Amino acid sequence: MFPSGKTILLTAATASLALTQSAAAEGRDERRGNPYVAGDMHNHNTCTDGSVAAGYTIDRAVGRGTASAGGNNFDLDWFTLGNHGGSGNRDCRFSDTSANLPGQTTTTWSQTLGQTIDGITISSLKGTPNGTGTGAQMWRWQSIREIEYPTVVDRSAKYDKVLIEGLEWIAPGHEHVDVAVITGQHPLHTKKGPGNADKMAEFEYRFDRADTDAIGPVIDAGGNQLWPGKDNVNNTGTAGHQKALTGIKWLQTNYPLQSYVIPTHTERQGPFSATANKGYNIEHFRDFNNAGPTVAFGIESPGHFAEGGANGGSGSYTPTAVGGGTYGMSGVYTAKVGGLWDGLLAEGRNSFIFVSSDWHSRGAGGARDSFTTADFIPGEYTKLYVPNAGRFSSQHVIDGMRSGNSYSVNADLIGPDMVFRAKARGDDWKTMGETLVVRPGEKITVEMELTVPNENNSPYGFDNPLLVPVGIKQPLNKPALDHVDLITGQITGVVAPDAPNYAVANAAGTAGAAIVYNPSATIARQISTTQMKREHRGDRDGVRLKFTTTFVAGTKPFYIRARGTNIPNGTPNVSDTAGNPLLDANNAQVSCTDPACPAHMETVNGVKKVTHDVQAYSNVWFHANPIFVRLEGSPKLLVETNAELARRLGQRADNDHDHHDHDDHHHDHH
Amino acid sequence: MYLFRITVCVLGLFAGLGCGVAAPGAVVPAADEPTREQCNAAVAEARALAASLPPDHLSRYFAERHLHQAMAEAGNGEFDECLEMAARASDEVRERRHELRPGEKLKVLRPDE
Repeated sequence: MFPSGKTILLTAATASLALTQSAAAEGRDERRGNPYVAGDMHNHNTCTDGSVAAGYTIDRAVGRGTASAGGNNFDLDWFTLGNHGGSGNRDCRFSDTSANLPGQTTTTWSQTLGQTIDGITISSLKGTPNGTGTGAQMWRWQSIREIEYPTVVDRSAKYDKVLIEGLEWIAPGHEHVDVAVITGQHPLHTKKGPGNADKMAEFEYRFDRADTDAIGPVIDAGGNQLWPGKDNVNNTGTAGHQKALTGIKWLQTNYPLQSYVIPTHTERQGPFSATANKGYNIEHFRDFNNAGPTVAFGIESPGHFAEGGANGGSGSYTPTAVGGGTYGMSGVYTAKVGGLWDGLLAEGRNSFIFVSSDWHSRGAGGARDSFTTADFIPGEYTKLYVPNAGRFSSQHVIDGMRSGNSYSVNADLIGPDMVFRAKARGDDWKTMGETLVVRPGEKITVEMELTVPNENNSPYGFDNPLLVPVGIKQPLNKPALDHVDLITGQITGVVAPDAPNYAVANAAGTAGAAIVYNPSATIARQISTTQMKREHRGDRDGVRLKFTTTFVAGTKPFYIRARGTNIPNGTPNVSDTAGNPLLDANNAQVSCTDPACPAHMETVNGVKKVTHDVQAYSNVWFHANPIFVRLEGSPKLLVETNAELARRLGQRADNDHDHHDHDDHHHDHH
Repeated sequence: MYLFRITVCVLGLFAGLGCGVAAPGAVVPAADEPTREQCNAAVAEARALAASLPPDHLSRYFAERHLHQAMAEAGNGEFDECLEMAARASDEVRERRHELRPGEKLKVLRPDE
């Protein structure tokens, strides 16, 4: 059992411990055998621009079986409600009419003030008045406190799962950012009660550029502010970036182990602009990590996986996005070997990648329809795996993400029991996010084990149309792994903020895909599934695959990351001869000719093309975070020193009252 | 213009399109940021375009769903995404991106199903 009241940074050894412990609990709950647990941290509801009620999203994401009104639930282990900042005019206890749910119609705050609905009474819209009539909007700090968090508390009890109130921060000067502050949130605390999401709400009020409320909550009849001193001016461009850094420093100072800051769909709006609100260049990720070494530790790839049409659009990316669109359903920053993420890893930074659904709606479909032309429900298509740390809690979600020991999977290409680790001698295995210390010339053994499940959530049983041209028959509802790439890159050291290469010119469109940030990054090994050891685990559990390979330590530090796919090298319109994903817009060059190709696919000259959810289930990838390697006696990497900082802060937090609050109320998953 | 504003307001019940007013004391968007007015205009233009298709044309249905989402984005104050969704609606109509084969239907569950 892991100790409570401490920050836990999992090592390979502790991950093995979790596996051993959980094996003993088989039979009580099949999930207890999994070393990793699946979640989603980026999704929306009618409090902002989503299509369904806040509670409905949670029900579908973490519930089991079938929803009462129809549609599958997706049984996630943990869930962060990560909705936009700003304001919204819809009452998010109701789903939108467009969701086609029985008894649900679009309802605005103006229609429900003073009524008690779902046990919640909203008597007024607080803060600076914002709109009138049906356009009257509730600032998000209020809906976080008074609607979403009470819903999280209600559903936590109903499902006994880890639910977190988070935010998709509309960051000043930039694109959006996944944020959570779990301080004060303990929805299942048996002694102290459910707590509150006030710290999350305060961050939103103070730092979200779409929240221009100048009042916030008040503490007395005189109108004195609970959260005074808001900067409501510097929301744009370079000044906005500085305000964003102030927000990150606020989190680092106050909640260094109980918050995270993960920029999302970072390529979508093109490069950063000094005079607008859009995008990121590499220097902004560096700034974020420098300002928040234990809170700003990564990048999230885009969701919106089913938006791809005949001209592209997957990930909600247009041709003006950096890279011109998605690549293997990821943005070019993380998909390209030698790209921006590899540039951050070349510094030895604790920069990890994550993925989530960005659920809003099913586009042309209602919430219960099996098809989607826009987004998938959390857990349906994409899963973010973090370690199953014994008495699993919201703190462990953040600890797992911060450690880097996590991986991201689309379409259930692999399951919750991946092993990706490396050692040099003895039995000192290091896993994702950790650093292996070696001697020059030493042999490094890398081991990977993964399970390819027997099925995913695809409603389609016809053969993958992208693979028909290469003669492969692969039903879309049967995950199939073609190969795994081990990608290595040299670590050349941290780039100082005043160094000439700290900022790198960026470009919109496909020109942005040509930028090389780490020229040493390469696909060092490609292991075909046919080269892996196979173990059939029965009809229900799929196939267990395993391989071991070796590297020889040179004289420089480096990292090893992994990705896998169902797409063979050189698949026309999908991958290049090395196995890199092409621009996903090319997928629509391929026709879907099976009689079962669904009616909602886009057509060109009357012929259905590989688009929408069919595209998403055809072009499938997983990504695993890096293992770092450095030489004995060499200076520690930034990823190590930042992990040590987290450990020190964790020890200091042992005496922190609220930190104990989180570890006291865990769900016992063993 | 006044009539147009009222019409958009009714159509945009859930998003408060055309009904919203700037929050007193709230910050005015940066000069190059999309505005509610631009969003309203783009949605109205795309809606008119969609109405040029027969009511049962699949591209009209898709365009109207995009416009619905555009209004949801406006209700959240995200006018850039409103413009993006309105542009998608227009493209959908101009390019007739979705077509049904003879005898084919797009099955969408109704609320009463």
